[in-house]
Amino acid sequence: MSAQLGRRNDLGLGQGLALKLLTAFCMLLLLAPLVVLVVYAFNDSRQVTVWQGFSLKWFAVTLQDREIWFAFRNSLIIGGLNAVLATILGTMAALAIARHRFAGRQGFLNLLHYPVLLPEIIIGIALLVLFVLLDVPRGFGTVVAGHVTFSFPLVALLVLARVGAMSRTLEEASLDLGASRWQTYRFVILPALAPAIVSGVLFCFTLSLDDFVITLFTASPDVTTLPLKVYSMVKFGLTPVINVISVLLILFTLTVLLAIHWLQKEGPHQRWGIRLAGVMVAALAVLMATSIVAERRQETLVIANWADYIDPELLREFESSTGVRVIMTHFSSDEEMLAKVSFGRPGIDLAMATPVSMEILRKSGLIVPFDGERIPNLRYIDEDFRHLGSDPTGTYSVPYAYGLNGILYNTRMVEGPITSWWAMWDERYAGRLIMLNDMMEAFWLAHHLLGYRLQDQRLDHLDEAYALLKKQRPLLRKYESDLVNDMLLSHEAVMAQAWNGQAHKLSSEHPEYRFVVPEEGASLFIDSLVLLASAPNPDAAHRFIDFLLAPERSSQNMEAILYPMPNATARALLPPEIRDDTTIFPAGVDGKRLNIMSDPGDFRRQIQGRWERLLAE
Amino acid sequence: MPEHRQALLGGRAEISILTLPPFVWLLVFFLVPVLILAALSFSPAGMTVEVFRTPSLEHYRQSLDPFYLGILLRSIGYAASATLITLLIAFPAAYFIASSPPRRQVWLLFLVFLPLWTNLLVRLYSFKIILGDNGLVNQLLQALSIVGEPLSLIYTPLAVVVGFVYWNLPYMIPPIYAALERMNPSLLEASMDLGASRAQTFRHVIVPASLPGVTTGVILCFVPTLGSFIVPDILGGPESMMVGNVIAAQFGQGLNWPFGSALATLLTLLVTVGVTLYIRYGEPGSTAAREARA
Repeated sequence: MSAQLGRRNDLGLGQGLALKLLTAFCMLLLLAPLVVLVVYAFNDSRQVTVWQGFSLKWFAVTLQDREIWFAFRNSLIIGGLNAVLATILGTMAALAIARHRFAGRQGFLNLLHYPVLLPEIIIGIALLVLFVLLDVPRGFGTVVAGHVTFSFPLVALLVLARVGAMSRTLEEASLDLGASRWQTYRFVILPALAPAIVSGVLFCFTLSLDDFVITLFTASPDVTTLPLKVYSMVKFGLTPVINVISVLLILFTLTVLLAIHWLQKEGPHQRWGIRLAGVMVAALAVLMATSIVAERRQETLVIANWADYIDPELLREFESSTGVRVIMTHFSSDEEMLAKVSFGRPGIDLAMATPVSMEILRKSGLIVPFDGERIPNLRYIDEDFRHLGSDPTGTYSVPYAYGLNGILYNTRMVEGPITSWWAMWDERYAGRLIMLNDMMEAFWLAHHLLGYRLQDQRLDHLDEAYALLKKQRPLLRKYESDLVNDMLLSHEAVMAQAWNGQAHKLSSEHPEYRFVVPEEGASLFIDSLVLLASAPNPDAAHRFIDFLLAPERSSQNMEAILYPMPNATARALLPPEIRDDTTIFPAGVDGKRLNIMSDPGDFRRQIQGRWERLLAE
Repeated sequence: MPEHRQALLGGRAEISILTLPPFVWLLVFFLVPVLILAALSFSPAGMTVEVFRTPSLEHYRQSLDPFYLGILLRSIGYAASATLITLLIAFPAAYFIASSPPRRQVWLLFLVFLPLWTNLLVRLYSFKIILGDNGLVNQLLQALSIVGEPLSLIYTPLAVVVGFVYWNLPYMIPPIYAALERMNPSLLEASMDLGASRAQTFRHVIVPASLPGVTTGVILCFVPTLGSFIVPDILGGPESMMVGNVIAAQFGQGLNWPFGSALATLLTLLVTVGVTLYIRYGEPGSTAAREARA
């Protein structure tokens, strides 16, 4: 194009000072976050917002993190498969529309625009519902299906633009000279489209590498992609590892782009370059295919768990002694766990359940009893914990750990000592309080403070409790369960409802933080492992639990997660400073009322409706 | 169509071979699932997925109660304001880039696309570092003694809008740039020769020329923002919850898939009708102008 504004801008339009400044501002907005990400990747501190000095240690941590490598590899496999499939489908659609007149052509074109137009979340949940209805297990296949669905229409539109600009003369010449339709495609049309197709491949690959929403709804825990991994890291604890990942991603993209740029350079080696790229893509595809086959051979065990709730070293030990790969998928509330395991075939073996969720899962037939004979170490579980109310036969669950929640606060910023839950309604700390993102805990506490019992299931009491929580709402920074310590450390909050083990991790390193069980009492939790009816590998699940319950391992695990486990033999093995720590083993709670949550049944809907309002108002 | 071209079109078989796979794919993985979703929205809530057992309008009644309607309106408000702000920031930059010498254009466009090289989640997370209570903005403001106590920036609607604008800029600048760059400089010279001021030239020549790009940019920003749930999820507080968060929560925590489906179906209708109307009537300069030119 000869008449372009930039080439013949003799008037100097659009180059004034004001525009320069506005453009500079725009670029600052675009690039500042990247600069911050890169700079803070070299930060020595664990806290992401405080600069402490230059260090490369987070690169070492990241490169050694096995989960990140797996996620990256999964992303490459999915991206590669998507690039191949979506480019083929997209090119076909584009050729059909550009070169043919047929009934429904306009409709077909409109249909192609539709997946591009709809918000991703709709495609994500629609596919999830489809896979659940058809009882398709989620995995690589379902994720690739999702990615192809949103990326091939984009390739089609991209290639369409190119075909539209292509002259038909060559095609006509080829046919006139006696070439068949196929030969014309092979030697005339496709080579002319090669640049558009190559950019299509790249484009699909990057779309895949970046997609979060559709992957979230179509993936199973064992095909975690890089964006899913990053999301769970952002959700469950902020570390500079996220910065390092972003630096590596930028470098990776830069390398790929430079390679492509070099390959596409005008000149004699262009054809050669495109061929080389083709061979490389084919080799990559073969590599990926074999990698998936190898993957399928390896036995895996998938566990849905709270974040930071098991000693990773124990997992490594189990893996090296049995050859089973353990995959963790995290959730941040009981409700999220239920949603994760309840529909279709989620590909999860074991889940960490509270008494409430265990009861729901048992009643809906989603969990099955363990075979006690295959878990000899069950004998170490304390007798009191063997027959909990939600599992009277003691066969559906293996008690894992227990604890309670109280108030964790910064003694330098809160006038203490704190003794009552009403401190969480103290207007002096408006905007700097955190409540756990836990529906049942919130409503239990509100009922309790009002002198009611949640289990009475009375609507009038529920409304009063709701009003009390609503009064607290404007004082809260957030309902949050996972980033409590991070937010307290960064002073985004000064006081929080928190679990004791979580609190101990903070207060043991930073003595200015204190944890108390308020005088009104507190809520006790007991987490148990349950075996899902849809578990792909129940055998490994039994072996894993038996492995975990051995006293020396339970003891090691308790030391790592800092929650007590119902295993007296293991407790005896703990170092005295942990065994006698009253935050971990709450001794000061004698005489205070402790609550154990039970399943509210259908009343749950009533609570849920009010909880959603609290969250959104 | 000339006679010999007709011959080029290939047979019915070729058309089927080219159209069937993409069409079947869209049918199976897009159209049918979206229709199933719509059907599911009439089912009672429960822990099993049942379509068309006992149809009820319960979930649509719930969707239209003032609370959820409020969230829907809020989402539209967020999407509209974020799109408008993005447009206001993107337009001058796109104009500047389009009128720069070619070499500089390449560099500036490179910078515009740079953020897309790394994952969106990572980029949003960087705003936690920037907008946090002891983040960079607050550190700067405190160092300059502009504020004493740190401002609460993160987990507010402000942070969400900033996140959206940041997310959308690389999608808004290129289409506007492309539209302006295609503009014929002779038109500008003519306008100035005929005595129009710079402002008049801008108003009567440059703005109309940019409209097709603006239309594309607005759709590319507004629709994903409307349905987004990651940005409010990571940067927002409770009061910035959007319809995407409610839908995701029904599937992720609420165990109420039919209600989530009802909201998703409403969102689908809203987007479909909205975009169709916008393309047809919204921008007087766009479709009409394009048709006139064609």
